[in-house]
Parts: sequence; structure tokens; C-alpha cells
Amino acid sequence: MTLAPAPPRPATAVGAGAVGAGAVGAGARARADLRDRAPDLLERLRSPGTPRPVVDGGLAGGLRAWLEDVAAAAGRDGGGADLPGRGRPAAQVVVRDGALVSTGEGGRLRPWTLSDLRSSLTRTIFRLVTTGAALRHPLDDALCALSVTDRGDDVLEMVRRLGGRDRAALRAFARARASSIQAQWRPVPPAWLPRTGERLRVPLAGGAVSLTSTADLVVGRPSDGRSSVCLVRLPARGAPGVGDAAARTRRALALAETLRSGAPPLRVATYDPRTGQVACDEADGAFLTAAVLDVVGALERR
Amino acid sequence: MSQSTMAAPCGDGLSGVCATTPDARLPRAAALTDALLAAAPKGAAQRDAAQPHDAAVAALGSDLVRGLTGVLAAASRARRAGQASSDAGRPPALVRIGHYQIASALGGPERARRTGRGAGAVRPFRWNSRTARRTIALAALRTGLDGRAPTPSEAVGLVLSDPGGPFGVGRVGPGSCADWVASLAPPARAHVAAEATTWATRLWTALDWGRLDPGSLAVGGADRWWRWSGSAPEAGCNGEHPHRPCRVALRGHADVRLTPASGAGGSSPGGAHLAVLDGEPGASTRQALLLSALVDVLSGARSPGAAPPPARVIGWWPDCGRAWVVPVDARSLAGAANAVVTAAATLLGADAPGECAGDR
Repeated sequence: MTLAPAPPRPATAVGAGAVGAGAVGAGARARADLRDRAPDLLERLRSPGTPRPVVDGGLAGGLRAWLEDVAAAAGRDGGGADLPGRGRPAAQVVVRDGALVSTGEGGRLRPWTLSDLRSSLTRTIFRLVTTGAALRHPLDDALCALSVTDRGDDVLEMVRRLGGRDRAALRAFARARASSIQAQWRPVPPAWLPRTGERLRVPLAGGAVSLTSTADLVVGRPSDGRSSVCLVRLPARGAPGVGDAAARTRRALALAETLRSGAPPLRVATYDPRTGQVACDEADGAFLTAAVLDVVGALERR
Repeated sequence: MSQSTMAAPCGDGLSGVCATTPDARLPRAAALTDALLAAAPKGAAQRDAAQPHDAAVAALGSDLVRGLTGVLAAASRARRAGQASSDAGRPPALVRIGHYQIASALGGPERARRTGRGAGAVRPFRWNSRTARRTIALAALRTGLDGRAPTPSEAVGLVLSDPGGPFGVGRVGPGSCADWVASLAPPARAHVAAEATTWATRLWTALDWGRLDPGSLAVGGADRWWRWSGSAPEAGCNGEHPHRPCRVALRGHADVRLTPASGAGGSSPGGAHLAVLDGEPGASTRQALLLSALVDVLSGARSPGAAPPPARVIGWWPDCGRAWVVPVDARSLAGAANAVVTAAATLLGADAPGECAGDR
């Protein structure tokens, strides 16, 4: 599904860098114009007042059963089960965002890189903007926010080690990201129940396989029989916000949400603050089937 | 939840544990609320379920103390023989055992490998957005239940506007969450608020709060503790063996406590504890979940006026949408006591102990 583009405006259509049919584009040149229609992005994602699809009560269970069959074969060598009292398999297969990450390395902390730092700064700025925090000095404010995370020391130490030019470049980077994000997003109304930085982790085959993903923003009440939740994801370190990898990320996010909540999300989107592009899909049966096939493919290539 | 609730196999020493997998019934909050409100089990399980003064509880306490005493002695022997780990020397004067310590001790090498930390590794506690989110979120939830805030984010905002106030996060003073939050610059505080809002929203939407009797409901609140003090001979510098005291404190934590209805009798078992947990259930989950019930049982034996223990504990993992319902009975409590002894052995650098008698 494609988010309906904004009402035709020459400034947004030109140079927006939109890619594919599923993109809502806005580049730097269109920023001022985007600011005018800032509420649109969130509202179009959420579409308040429009009818929402009824949840197929058997869909989540069917998808899970399919995945369990595949995961059981993948995890057979580990032989684990998460029934109480049973041991966890020796090595857990982690499928993150629809792609195989590693075997048994899913939770290990690794040293920070500059790419990690930039990604974290971007996510933090997005989080602060969508939760209504004031951003006066983007780099300083984001670092201040990151300082209270469980990896705050790593972040601050890395920034301390940066030379003058690198630090200036980082400051410019944060300023650009903040400008882009603030132009396109606004604080989410409290009644939409905004959640930020949500982790999704679905164990299969008794924990031998784990499907993981992260949503940078989740809005909407849990389903009461109709699809309701919308999830937004920013690209991982250096990855583009559109294209095949981003599409797979959206599918994985929708699948994980469906499995954990029992209901498909209403919409799932990726947002690339570098280009301002938003790609969005509705999580229907075909979309979720494709997500399962991503996982199947990842496990078969193992 | 009811649709796919399954009883785990009861072999290998397990007693009726229900592993509740996601089901198709929507909204999910109805299923989790059903689990919380389910009637206390009837029959033998209920009789076993830790009436504070009966012989079973006394035996459970004795077995636990015996196990901990054995751990202290083994740790002392290991130190004297120079077999203890690199932090050998004086044993800690206080060992706190909570959900995390049990999960670490029982999770074994797999957990240590995944997290990059050894089972016995102890990280000093410090407040950060993750460690503070639960405290803030539970305070926010209470604010919401009292009708002072209509949404989680507004409730969190209200709590953080005066963290040390009457609707704040609780204790004020050095090292407290309230003081830590008050010391933060606005961007850091906003980040903490976002983290707490996410956590609060999950629990806010996880239950059908209107079905729960406010009079029997406790959201958050202080952890409950059971403390024991023992000692073991230590190697003195001149070859003497002075006895060094060591205290063990068990931390009973539950995010939501539902006590039995008033008509059910003051000290009869009933009600439930709900714990909201990160990640996914693991090998040590069952024992770690039961810790809150174990603390209530042991504390109740010492203080007859204490709150009755729950009939079941429920673990809920919002990351994966799973819930486990673990009935509280004599066997499950003995298993939890064994887990405590194992955790103590890990933390004190002793050899793995044998089982408590009650788990035979």
C-alpha cells in the first residue's frame, strides 16, 4: 500500500527523491513546504476516522504454525524447548528483520562504531520529536538523552574521542537530521498511545529460533477485532529507507507484531530521514505471507 | 489465551505449569485479565499453597535455610582452599537474590554467552532509562487508575513533573529514582519519559482494568523481602578461622498484585501476581517467577498478619506476547527454593549444591 501523496504541490513533487510507488518523498529542497503539511504524514499513516479491516482470527495462528514447522527443522540440532524446566537450545538462530543475523550471537553486545552512533543519534532525535520534547541543540540534546541509556557511557566516550572536525561533522549531521525529522513529524497525540523504541522478539521452535525486530514508533490501541496498530521504523545503520531491504524490514515488523499480538497491524512504514522518504504497506494476508517466506528463505540459506 | 493454554509435561519434577501461548481471541487484555482473576485451584494444590503456619511451609523454610547454610560453608571451604574465582577473598556481607540473579544462575552458559556476562558477574546498579522505566511507569499507571491522567504519556508527564511528590515515584533521598530523575537535564528527562511511557502503555493496555477490584489491587509498590543471616568460618591472616556473617535477602517483585476477595478469608491462598518481563521466557523463568510467591510464603510464616501468598504467578512478556501462568503449590515452591540456593551458590562462588529436601 502506498500512503496517499499529499495534495499536488510542485515543490514537494520535484526533487523529493521519491523511489517507487510506495514512497512519499521530501528532500531538502522541499523542506519548507513539508513543514506546512507536517501533520499530514502522521495523519495519513493513522487515517483516523476511516474504517479498518476486521482481523482474521485464524491468520496469526496459521502463520505461526507454518513458521513453527520451518523453525523446528532449523532448530532441530539445538533440540531446545521453552516449556518450563526444559533447557534452552545451545545456539539460538536469530532472524532479525527477516534476515539471518547469526547463530547464537543475537544478544551479544559489540563495540560501538561511528555508524552506530549516527544511527542512535537519528533514532533519539526521532524519539524526542515524536514524543514532544524540545530540541534546541540537536547534537547536545541527543547526546544528553543517550547519556541515560544503558550504553550511555559508550556513547559519551566515543564522542569524547572524536577530533574537532569529526565532531563538527557530527554536529552538522545531527542538525540535518533534526531539521528533516522536525519538518515531517510532529508529536503524536497522547490518545494515540505512542510507544517508542519497542522491541519485538518472537521465539519459535521452543526458543531455537527467534524473530526479532524493533519499531521506532508504534501508535494505536491493541486490536479489539480490527487492525489498529501502526509501526514506523527508521533504517538500520547506513541502510536505505526504501528498496528491497527496507521492504523486508517492513514485512518482518508486521509479521512479528502479528505473531505477538494476534492481530496484523494496520500499517507498517519505513522512514528515511536522509531523504525524507516514507514507504508504507498495509499488512494484509499476502504481505504477511511474503514475510513468512522471507523467514523461510533465511532459515534455508543457513 | 484460554484457547491455546497448555499444561506443560509434569515429568522431571514439574508440577502443573501452564505455558500460555498467544491465542486468537481479541482483545488480548481479556485473556490476561481472565488469568489474573481465575479462581484459586481446588484440592491438594490449594491446601499446599502455602498456608502460612502449616508444617509444609515450616519445612520449606528449614530446607531453604539448610541449603543456604550449606552454600556458605561450601563457599568458605572453596575460599580457604584457594579454589574460588578471581574475586576470592572476603565473601559479600549481603547477597541479594531476585529474578535477575535466579535467571543468571539457572540460565547457565547459554545465557552468559548470549549476554556476554558470566552467571556470577555482578554489575553495580545504576539508574538509567531502562532501570527507571518500570518504577516511573507503575507510578504513572497508578495515576491513571486514580483518574488523574487519561493516557499513559500524560500520566508519565504528571509523575515526572514532581518525581518526589505525592504522585511521584516513591522514596526521596540519595540514590532514589526520584532524586535521579530530578537531577536530569530536559532532554535526558524526555528520553526517560519516552521509555517509561512505552512501558506504561504496554501494561496499561494489557489488562481490562475495569474488571479488577481496586480494593484488592496493588500496582507496583515496594518489593517484599525475606532475609536470612548466617555465617561460616573464614581464613584469617594468622591461620585463625573467624566466623564472618553473611546475609541473604530474597526480593519478591510483582508489578501487579491481586489479593483474594475479602469473602475468601483473610489468610487463605488466592489472588495472583503479575510480572512484566523483557524478552522471552527461558529455562529459568518458572523458578524466577515463583520467587515473589516464595517470599510471601516465607514472610507470612514469620508475620502472621502479612498478606496471603498468591495462588498463581503470571509472567507476561510483551516483547513476544506470551504469558505463563504458574500455580503456587508445595512442589513449585520447593523448586523455587532450590533455585535460590543455586543462585546463592553462584554468587558466593560455592560448588553447585544439592536439592532442597522438599523438591524430592
